[in-house]
Amino acid sequence: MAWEPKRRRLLCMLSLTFGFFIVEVVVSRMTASLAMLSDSFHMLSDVIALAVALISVRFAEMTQSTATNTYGWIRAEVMGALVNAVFLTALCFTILLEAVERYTVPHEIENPRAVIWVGAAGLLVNLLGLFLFHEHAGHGHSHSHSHSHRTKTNKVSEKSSNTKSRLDGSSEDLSCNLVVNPGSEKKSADMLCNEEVEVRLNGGVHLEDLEATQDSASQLNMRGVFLHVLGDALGSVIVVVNALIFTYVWQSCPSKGPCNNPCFSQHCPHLMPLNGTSDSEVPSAGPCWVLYLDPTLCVLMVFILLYTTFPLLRESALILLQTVPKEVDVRRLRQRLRSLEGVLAVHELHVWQLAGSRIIATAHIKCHDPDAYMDIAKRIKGMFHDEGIHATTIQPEFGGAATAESGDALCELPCRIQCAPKQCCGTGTIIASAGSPTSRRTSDSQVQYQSHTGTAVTYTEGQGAEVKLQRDVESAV
Amino acid sequence: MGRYSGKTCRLIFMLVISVIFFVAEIVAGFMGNSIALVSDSFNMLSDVLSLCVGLTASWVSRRAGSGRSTYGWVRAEVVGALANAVFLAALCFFVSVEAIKRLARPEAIDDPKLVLVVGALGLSVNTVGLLIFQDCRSCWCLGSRMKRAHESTKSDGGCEMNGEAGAVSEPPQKEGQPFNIRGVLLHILNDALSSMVVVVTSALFYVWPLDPGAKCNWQCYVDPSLTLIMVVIIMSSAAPLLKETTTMLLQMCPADLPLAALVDEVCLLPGVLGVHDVHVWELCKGRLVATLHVHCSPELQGGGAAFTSLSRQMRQIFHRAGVHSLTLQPEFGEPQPGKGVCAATCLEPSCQKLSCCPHATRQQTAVSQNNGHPLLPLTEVSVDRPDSTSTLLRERAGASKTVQSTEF
Repeated sequence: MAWEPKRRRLLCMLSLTFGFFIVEVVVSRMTASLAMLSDSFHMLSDVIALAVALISVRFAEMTQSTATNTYGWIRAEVMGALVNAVFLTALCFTILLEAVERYTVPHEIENPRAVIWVGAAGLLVNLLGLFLFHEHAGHGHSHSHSHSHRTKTNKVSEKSSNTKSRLDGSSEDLSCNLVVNPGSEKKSADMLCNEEVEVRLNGGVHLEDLEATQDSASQLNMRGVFLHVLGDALGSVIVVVNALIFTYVWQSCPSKGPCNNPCFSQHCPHLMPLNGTSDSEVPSAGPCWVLYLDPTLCVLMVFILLYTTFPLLRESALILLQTVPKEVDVRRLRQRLRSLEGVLAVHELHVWQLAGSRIIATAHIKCHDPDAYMDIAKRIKGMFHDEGIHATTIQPEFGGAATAESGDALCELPCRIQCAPKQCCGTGTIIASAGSPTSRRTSDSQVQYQSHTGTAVTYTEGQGAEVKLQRDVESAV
Repeated sequence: MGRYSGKTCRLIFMLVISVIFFVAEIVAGFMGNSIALVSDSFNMLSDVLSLCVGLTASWVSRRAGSGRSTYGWVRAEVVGALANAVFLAALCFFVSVEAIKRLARPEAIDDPKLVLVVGALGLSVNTVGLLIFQDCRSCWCLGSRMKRAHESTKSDGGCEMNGEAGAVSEPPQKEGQPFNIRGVLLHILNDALSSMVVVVTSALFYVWPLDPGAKCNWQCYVDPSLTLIMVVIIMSSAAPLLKETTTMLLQMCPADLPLAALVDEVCLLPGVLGVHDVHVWELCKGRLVATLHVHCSPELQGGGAAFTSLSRQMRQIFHRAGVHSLTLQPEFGEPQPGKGVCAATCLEPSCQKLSCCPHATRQQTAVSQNNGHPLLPLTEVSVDRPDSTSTLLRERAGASKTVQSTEF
């Protein structure tokens, strides 16, 4: 399964990072270095991010439907990606705050040589992490294509053998019956189904790409991990560079004797020595810009991280917000559905992404002929299949003569009128009926509410619904 | 109520106060060269950020749906609340790291009087915030809920989110509030508690000042210890919000919905041979969406009226359970024994992997899978009961087994 290598890599990186965190804590206690202690806690935040990703992967393996989660847990990876992205943003925020504090009160590094060694070791760990997760750096498409080409022949042969054995197992295989008449011979069903497997796959998208894009949910999750490791790597780079410059450029004050420290004493000129000693005899602490190097580099790092984290945040949030995936054009889909013969109207069309390439659609289709419905339904399924949507629930509605001009007929089977605000797409705003801006209902058995597309809808109990297309409804609210 | 419901007004008001206080603190901190003021102002900044997230989520969720989102943007509040909760958890983590560092190397407060004043001001601002977002709504809503008990369909913008007509018992005060308000409230609570810790610690140092240069005594350990206690309190308050938002975003079935009983009831309707691919999930608070495939007996296939009537009956059942958005897909013909899979799957077997609930391939196990559950022996007809322990299948009494299955 695709989960195993991912889990192994995550576990490996998790144990390495945690081990290094312990090492850094111990060294910081031995050298009494506060800077090293703070760096060790940056490692700990990495550990947390990796743990979140690992838990998400573990959950997302359970794709089966259960009592508590009818869709399985596959969305856990998208959630993991969002949590990691927000955590990273919070990390950037705190680094920014520390940098601002460093600008006001610059710190010297206490023990630069020890910091160089530990920083270099941390950088090594992070570079290893970057190497482990580098495939997930981009949007994942480049990875999927290369992966798919490598396994192209294997997958296709595996697929056709799967289909064959399914047919062998049961002569009335229902999924194959979709393309074959129920009465056909098994052999011809075999062949036809195999042809269909090779020819009509996702409306022209090849089988390999299909396999490859399945992982895009986990791509998001691993991208979150990659960004964390990248942030830590950049942090280690800054630590090492800073420590190196401190060792070779900075001249600190000697522990004994007078010292002129222009970087700290700007506010307190009265502390300068007054006994007439010339300036050249009093050692000065090193160039002040060195003290401001650390916070400046940190601020730069924060901007880089935020810039790379924002797309991840947006993508995972859009999936969780039940938006339509970018590949699907809902308006065009709706037009194509309406243009089918026998379809009077389409409403309650919803398309959303569960995770990765699992796109789910529901629609209510109004037809006038129940007998022709099954044929229509087959074509509808085919149309959704062409768009890459394989999990659909289509509700047929029969009867109901008049429809609105736009073809957006209303549901023949709505819930009760009071439920309009609690349906998936009511805004819940009851607007005034025409002529009486203050009353909330037109009559006891009628209610007007505003649908999410801005049209005003009047429901009359027992008589179905009637649409008044009011484009300016929204401005009234 | 209108576009500017009480919720948004309060968020904006609190945002304005927080921004003013943040700017005042940071300016005073730089002018007076006080690190305490500067770091306290950053607490205010995190509050401002969380209020911005709450406001943005509130604004987005009111936007009309478009080609980009067929369900509208109502879920923005849930996502915003999750983002706020995770942000808060991260801040708590970093604060506890600082506290542990302080325990390792304790420091005394330099200027207790200034810190005390600043802490007290911060505490007052946060107390105002806590009051704004707290009680009044549930008092006010109690009145309108009593009116609603007489089956009015009034829907106030302010109360609507706070517990719909379906709510039977009075929810606990915090849980009745909309998600993004709860997220913001947690941040303000965090800030208030940390201001309280600052006030207590600086008061201690003010009353019993430490000689400069003297070794740190027990007083130096008060601040980090109280901070750690505060982190525990905040995290335990944030846990329910985290749990509820993740439940919703993971498309989980609401815990109080008796799904198995619903499916049982649906199966008992005349003409229903089986039910599968049942999915129920919560779009946002109070809005449940359900889809299911129903295997209907062939008699219903002829006229549309029979199916429409069955549909209405099913809707009634779901309506009583609080689910008002339902999509039913009928499938006709006798379900094949031992199969129990959808008669109307997508066109190709390869599409199974991309459907919402992939089935296992048949050659791997002798028993086929149905939405992930192994079926019982082949003599029984399957019903997809999303119950992980029992895969009991139900057979319609008297149903014939010889009818050809008709597919889509």
